Amino acid sequence: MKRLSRAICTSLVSATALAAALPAAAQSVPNAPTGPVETQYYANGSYATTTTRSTAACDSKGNQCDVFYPTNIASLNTRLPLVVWANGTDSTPDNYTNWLKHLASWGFVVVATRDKQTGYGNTVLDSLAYMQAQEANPASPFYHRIDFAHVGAAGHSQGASGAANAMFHSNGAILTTVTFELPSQTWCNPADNCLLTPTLTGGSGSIFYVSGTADSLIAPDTQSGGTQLNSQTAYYNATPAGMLKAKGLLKGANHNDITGTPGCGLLGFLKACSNGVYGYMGFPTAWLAWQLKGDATAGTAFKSGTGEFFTATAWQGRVSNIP
Amino acid sequence: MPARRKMLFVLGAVAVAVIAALIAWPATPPAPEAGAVVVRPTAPAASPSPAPVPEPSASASPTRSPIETSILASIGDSRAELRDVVARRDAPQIACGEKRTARDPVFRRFVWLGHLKMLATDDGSADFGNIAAVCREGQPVP
Repeated sequence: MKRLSRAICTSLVSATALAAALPAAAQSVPNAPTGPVETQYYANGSYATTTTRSTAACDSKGNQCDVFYPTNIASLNTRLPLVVWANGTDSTPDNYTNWLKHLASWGFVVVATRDKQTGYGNTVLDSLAYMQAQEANPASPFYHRIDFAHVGAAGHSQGASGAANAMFHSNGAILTTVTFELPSQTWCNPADNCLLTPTLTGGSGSIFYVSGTADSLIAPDTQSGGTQLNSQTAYYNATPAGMLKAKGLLKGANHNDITGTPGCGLLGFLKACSNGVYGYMGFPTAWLAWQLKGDATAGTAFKSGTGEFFTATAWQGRVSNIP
Repeated sequence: MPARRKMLFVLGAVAVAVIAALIAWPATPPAPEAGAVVVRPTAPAASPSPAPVPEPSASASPTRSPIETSILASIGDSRAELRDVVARRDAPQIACGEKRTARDPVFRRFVWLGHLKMLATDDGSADFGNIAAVCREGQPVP
């Protein structure tokens, strides 16, 4: 009997170990990657990650910041690029830990204010200033560890507006932005808590608009008309031609799939989470790796019309101006 | 016989509850206080009216419902006002009505998705019409 129990235990442990070792792409998940670049960045990077919270407020509204970074940051020979993250309405970084740790595993330091109203982008810029102070503080784990020549922004929903606003108001300190489910302007309250048209049309940097086809009420691909930017296509078209830009919608993804852990759980449908975060890990990470870490191969995936992004089966509504 | 006694007890309890409900239930719903924001848990009719409704009326409610409190919190304007707020009966996290704010002092239709903390304001576009369809019972919940 004891031998039988031991055998069952051994089998369970082996099965668990095997499941953990299998690449997620090999398992049946929604929006699985198909090409080499998407597959590469869909998987977690090589760094183990650590998360810390600032002991004091890191923004002008009194919120603390969470920082996600490679655990061995102190022993690395190079400074790491920084990503500033902006939460969706009434959310904290706790809602995005899977995605944020994924970025850190690829060698990004990610700072995320715990502000729940990030649309203006001011607290996102505050979090950048906080990291600049940390970088100059010999007592900080980030002392001389951040590459402030390579800073990007990313955000979800209202935070997508916040990330873009932060870039456009950063005087060039933030080079690129990835927006997840950037809401149509009709959802902005007040209007300037959004990405405003003049801000966008007068901006610089680069931007990757990411949405989901099941989020057609808040961040649809196209719109019927009107003067507001009420679709991802309208935002893309209003983005200056001089900026590098791309847009794509993940098939079947709903407004809150970026919050997946990585799936949505049994009650995910109650919070607009359909497919989980899986599909969001590949190309958005590749975009940041290209823009902030110089991965030219990742950049070629976005080449207009012919890059890997345009043949990936999980995506539709794709367009870019990447030469 | 315990089973029979149990059944009698349950029937008695149900009867008492029904009688108590009949006594407590008013013949007609109480009229709202003047200036109060009314939340009606019924399916709203689709309104084809254009965006602005330049008619001041509602004021801050002394008895806000939780959904109104959430909507006003999302607006972040202490002078914002709501009126004719209607929660969808089959999806009470979705509410529709009219709002005005200090910066936009005319009443405009809105759609509130409570589970996403998202508020859309009528901009007179066809796209808002599409969004407002979610106020109708039976429509898919985003």
